[in-house]
This record gives sequence, C-alpha cells and structure tokens, in this order.
Amino acid sequence: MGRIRQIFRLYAASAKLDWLLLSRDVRTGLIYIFSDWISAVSSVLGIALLAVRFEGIGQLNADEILWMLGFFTLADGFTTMMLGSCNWLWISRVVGRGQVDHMLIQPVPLWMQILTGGFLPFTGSSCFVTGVALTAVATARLSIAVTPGWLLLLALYTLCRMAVATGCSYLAGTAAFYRPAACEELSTVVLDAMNAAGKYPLAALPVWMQALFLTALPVGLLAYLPSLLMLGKLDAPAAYVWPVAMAAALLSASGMLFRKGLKHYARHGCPRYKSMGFRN
Amino acid sequence: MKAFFATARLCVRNSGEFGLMNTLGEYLLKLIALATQWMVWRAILPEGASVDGMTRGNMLLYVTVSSALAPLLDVRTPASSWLHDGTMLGLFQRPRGVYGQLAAHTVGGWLVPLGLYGAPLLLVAALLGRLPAPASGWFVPSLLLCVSQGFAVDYLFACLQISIRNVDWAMHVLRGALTALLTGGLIPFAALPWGIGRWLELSPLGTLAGAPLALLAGVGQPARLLTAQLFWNLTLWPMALWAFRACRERMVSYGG
Repeated sequence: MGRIRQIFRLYAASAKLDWLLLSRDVRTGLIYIFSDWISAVSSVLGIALLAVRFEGIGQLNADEILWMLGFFTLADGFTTMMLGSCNWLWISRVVGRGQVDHMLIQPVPLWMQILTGGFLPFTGSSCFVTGVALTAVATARLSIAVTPGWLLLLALYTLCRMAVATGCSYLAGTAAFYRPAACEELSTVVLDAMNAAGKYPLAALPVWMQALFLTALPVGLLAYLPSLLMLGKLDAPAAYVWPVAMAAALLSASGMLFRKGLKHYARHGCPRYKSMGFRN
Repeated sequence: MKAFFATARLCVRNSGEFGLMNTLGEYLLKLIALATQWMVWRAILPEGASVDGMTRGNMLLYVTVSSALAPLLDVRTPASSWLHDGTMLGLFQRPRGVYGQLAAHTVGGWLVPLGLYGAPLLLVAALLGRLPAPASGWFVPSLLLCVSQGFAVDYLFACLQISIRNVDWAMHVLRGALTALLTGGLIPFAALPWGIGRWLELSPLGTLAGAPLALLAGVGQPARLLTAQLFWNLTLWPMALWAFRACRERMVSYGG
C-alpha cells in the first residue's frame, strides 16, 4: 500500500514540475504543445488522405483506417505523456550519457523512477488528446457500440502498445551500457522506425512480412492488430491475447537485459563527462 | 573552394560519430520502412492500374529514389542543432563565411548516407530490374534547384528557431511534421485526393522533394515545376539572407 501511495506522490510531483514548466514560461510551453499537435495530425494525415483517395487500404475501408490512425495517435500520445519527460522512453540517451548515476543516488527504486518520472500531463498530452478526438470521430462514423468491456479492451491495448514500445526501446537501449557513445541514440532510431512503419495497415503486406511485423519486429502491435481486434475484423480468439503476451514478453526480456547492463555499469561506469560538464 | 572541401572532408570523417552499429541499424530500419511502403503501394495500385498517370512502376521508383536521396531532397544543415549546443557561435570566429561553413558541413554529411545507403539501394533495385528508367532528364536540374532551395528553407527555419528563443526540439518536431507531408517526399502529390496535390506542388515546400520526384516519375510538367522552383529560389534566398542578418544579434547559446 505504501508503494502505491509513493507512486501516486511521484506522479503528482512530476505533474507539478510539468505545470511549473508551462506556467512559468507559457509561450514556450504553448510552442511545445502546438508543435506536438501539428506533428500528431500530420503524421497520420498522409495515410488518411491515401485511404480517402483509394477508398480504403487492404481489407480496411477509409473510416476503419481513420479509427486505426486515431488509435495509433491515442496510444502513441499516451506513451509519450506517461514516459516522455527526462528521456525515460529513449533510455539509451540516459544510459549512453552516463546519467544512470543520477538515478542511482535517488532514494527511490529505479523502476519507480522510470514509471513516474516521465509523466507530462500538461505539455506532453496534445498527441493523446488528438488521438482521443480522432478515435471518437471514427467510432461515431463506424457506429461502434461503446460498452464498458470495449473501453476496457481499448485501455488494455493502449497499455500493451506502451509496453511494446518501451520494451523495444529498452532492449535496444541496453546496448548503451556497453557502447555509450555509439549507442546513445539507438532507442530513438528504433522508436522512430517503429512509429514510421506502425501506422500502415499491414493487410497490404505478404503473409511472411505480416508474421515478421507481429513477432520479431512488432510494429503491427502498435495499431494494426489492436485495431482489427477492436473493430471485430479478426475472428481468432487467440489473437486477442497476442498483444498482451508480446507486451509481457518484451517487458520481461528488456527488464532482464537492463539489469544485466546495470551490473556492467556498476563495474565500468560511463566516463563521458569532462570536468567542466561537456560530453565527449 | 579548397577550404570548403577540407571542411566537407572533416565532416565525412565525423559523420559516424554515433558508431557503425547506430549507422547500420538506421539504414536497416530505413530499408524496412521502404519495403513497407513498397508493399502498401503494390496493394493499392494493382499491376496495370495508374493514379493521375502514375503507374505502379513509377510509384515504386518515386518512393525508392525519395528514400535513397532523402538528404538532398530535404536539406538539413547543422544550423538548428548548432544554435542549440553553441557550436554556431564558433563559426563566427573562423576566417570563412558562415553560410559556406554550414554548406560544407552539410555536403560532407551527405556522403556517408548516399554512399552506404542511397547508391547501393538504387544500384541493387536497378540491377534486379525493379525500377523503370527515369521518365525525364529534367529531374537533374530540378534536383539542383531543390537542393539550392533546401538550403534557403533550412536557414529560414534556423531564423525561426532563433526568433522563438532556441526551442529546438519543438522546431525539430514541427519541421519534421511539415516536411513529411508538404514536400511530397513521403506521399506523391498525384496520389492525394480532391486535387490538393496540384496546389501543393507549387508551394515553397512542395517544390522541394515533390518537383524532382514528379519529373522523375513522369507525372509533372517540367516548365510548370521548374518555373515554380526558380521563383521560390529567387524569393526565398533573399529572404533567408535578410532574416539571418536580422537574427544574428539575437542568437543565444548555452553550450554543453
């Protein structure tokens, strides 16, 4: 019980810091919010326009594509809102820059810092809000019956998406324990590539590529498979569990490798900072 | 020119600063993203179908060349990041023009991605017979105008960054979002609905990647696109020079 209270206290502290960032420099805060909003809209607009022009892509019609893009934006926005601050989502930057030291001196377990330290409810929520709006519009256009069970499934797949992205980022980011300078931006590269490919409806791809994108390179779990399941386009009951299983597997694997990397870090450290504070 | 090429050579040697693993990983993921685009276009455009005169072969040529020549089609000088980390101020202390130094670093930075990713990609795709021949030789002058205009656009973005007090991440996000859609680098204007591509292809961002790639794929009118590119070059360069001069006193840099 004490742990849970502590987590909420830390979330509140992160939210307060984010509010201070916005309220002490409203202009800069609004610039961040505006640029995130433009980015969220334009990142899905291209595929949405293609879907309109060609009346759908693969087995999904234009409205269903809109729903998929809405879910992608919502889940991506949620991930950024929960883990976006202090590079917690792009962990290779933290590790590669030798900033794990900053974490180790805190009187809070590492997992709790990672879980709560990136919370950006004010300056980092514009993508999430855009995604909620897009998904709501598409849901209304498709006349989907919104039940508590459906909403729970939506929340579950949103969490799975966050776990998949975080797991992949941490799997790649662990390499920065061993090669700090070379791998500093590895998480960014992985997440950017996943986000670029994750918006496409995979039905257009051959079966072997779909299988690859649902397992080893799980970009299909970011939006495509959850959307098929939420829209009732897939009849296999086992498929409902797949995003959850993959998310759990990726989180476990990344946690295990991260702990191994930490042991290496404890022995070797990361001497990237010069005494005057510059990074080499 | 000797100093220009010496700086460019330095930049080539520096361009792998994040190491081989990062570089190769990046190119591998770019290949995967390109393969996804290929498959999507193959599904949308069946063999023999066309969209606004663009066949499936031309569409694949468009997206492949767009991926291979990405650094030229969307010119990014180091100006924005150097404004943030303080390197920019050092350029003023050297006995060379700031524009020339930025251009040399940019051109030097192109060689690794073009040599390790762009050229092999085009070569392999051509050898496998997956790409049709370019539809028009006007692609080459259009590409040169695109690069020139790209520098002007980049300097204008750098000035915008200075004027909003170095909010470089927001500017990076904003620019990435605008250029992905509005330059035609990701999705050909011919494939957009409601004829909006006809307007976008003449815009200052649309004449960047969109113009040379449309000419390459044989869906653009050379006179119309080259005139638009020439017009924007003649308009944007004076604007960029004026804006840079006006902004240089307002540069703030923290370094580190």
